[in-house]
Amino acid sequence: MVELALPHPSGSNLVLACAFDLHSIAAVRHAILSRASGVGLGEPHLSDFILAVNEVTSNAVRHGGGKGRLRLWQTVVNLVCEVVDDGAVPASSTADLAASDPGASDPGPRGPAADARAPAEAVPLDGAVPPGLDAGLVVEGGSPDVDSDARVAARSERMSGHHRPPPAAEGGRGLWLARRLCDTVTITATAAGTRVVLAFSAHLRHP
Amino acid sequence: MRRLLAEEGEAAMTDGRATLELGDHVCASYATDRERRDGFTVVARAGVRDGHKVLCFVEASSGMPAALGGWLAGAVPAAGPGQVRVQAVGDGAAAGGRVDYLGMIDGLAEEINRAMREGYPGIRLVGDMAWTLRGDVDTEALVDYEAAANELFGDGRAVGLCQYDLRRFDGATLRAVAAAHPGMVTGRGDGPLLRFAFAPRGITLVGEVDASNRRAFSAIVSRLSTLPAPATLDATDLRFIDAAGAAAIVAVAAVRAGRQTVVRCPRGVAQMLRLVGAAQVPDLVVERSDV
Repeated sequence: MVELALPHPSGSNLVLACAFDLHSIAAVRHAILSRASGVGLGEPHLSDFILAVNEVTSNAVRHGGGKGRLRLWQTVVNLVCEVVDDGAVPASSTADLAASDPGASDPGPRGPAADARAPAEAVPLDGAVPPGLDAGLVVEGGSPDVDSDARVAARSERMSGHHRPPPAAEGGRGLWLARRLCDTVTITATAAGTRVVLAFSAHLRHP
Repeated sequence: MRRLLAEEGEAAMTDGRATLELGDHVCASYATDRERRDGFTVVARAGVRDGHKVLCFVEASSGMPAALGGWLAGAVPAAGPGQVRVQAVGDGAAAGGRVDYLGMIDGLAEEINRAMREGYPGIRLVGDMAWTLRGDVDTEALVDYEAAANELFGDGRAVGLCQYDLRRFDGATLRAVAAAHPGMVTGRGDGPLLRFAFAPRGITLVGEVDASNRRAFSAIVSRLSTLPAPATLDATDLRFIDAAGAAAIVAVAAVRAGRQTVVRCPRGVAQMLRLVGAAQVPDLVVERSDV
């Protein structure tokens, strides 16, 4: 894991920016444990957040050419984690995801409290994305409404995480799990790679 | 990053190859002949320090056996007679030029037994994995070999360090091979991510399970399938497990239908087991170790 130096973004508090590979996803977990608890995320949310982030970094190193970049930042209501891999979209990516979204109404394992959190459409990017790093990536799906889902229909079902995957589907299970643990998961597939943004509302200290 | 990690107490700037313990099976990579030699030297010194036997495997055709033997004689002068040995491998490939992986595992098992008979409390096995190269790398066979080799270390009699040449194995092969080891070490860093020990009635796990040791973990927990009921997976000191690792536990428990499997683990591990469907396996009992 190599920490990346970035200018301090306006409107948000950049907590961590780093590059990782297969052998540093553990170091990324350890860094998030330390940094996220430093901005006030406590248990059991901290462990759940790390479980979710780890599934996304694992997918990035397993399907994305072995490397990825991660940024973790804090907004007024959320801890947001962005993972960008350097892999291309699989050629078989043709599933249409606009038909249904059972994950959207699922409060997840954290129970009814999730219902009281910020509405999903207000969460993912929130005008507070730190600049840099992702130049060249096209953000296609800023919010999980039907229109944007239709626009990213080319991404594979394996990567979507909307549907509970069959037992043998490792990659799909990771994103399915991230959706269970986080408030929103936004996946954007581009020719340059896949960008996954996890938003996790929590009682944080304000930046 | 190093400075920041040190501030957070996360970086121990030791030589990960020198801190290996009996039961460890790890890989390392090297980019230069000097780094490869350093790997042998560090393991040999640690072995002699601990009174262990040290067996170094090098490619027969490389001219390495004699050169390394001469080097180690000078670099580890405290070694007793026969304590540090260099063994050439690769000439014994079976007919058709195929790499004899099964023969290698049998041979390593015999070397471990021999070291015990000779009175050593442990043996350190360190190999230059170039012996597996025969033209194109058969990644699948190599990964299967490394995964199967984990069983040699579960009883805590041996250390295994497999050194891979970055100039001869490509990145995808190295990632797949590395994941068949419980951990990877470098000349500056921590010990392996995961340690494990076999007991008559189960397995003890210490550390973390993620994509970097996924294949090794599957191989290790697959041993549970052969154990009588009840079998215990003591994961009290397992600090992290990912979804694939938890699914491997659930899968092996399902195979043991009719024979109870007990997993003793902290909250995070129990949470992941639940998320991947542990409750659907009737004979799988998850006990919290932290309540």
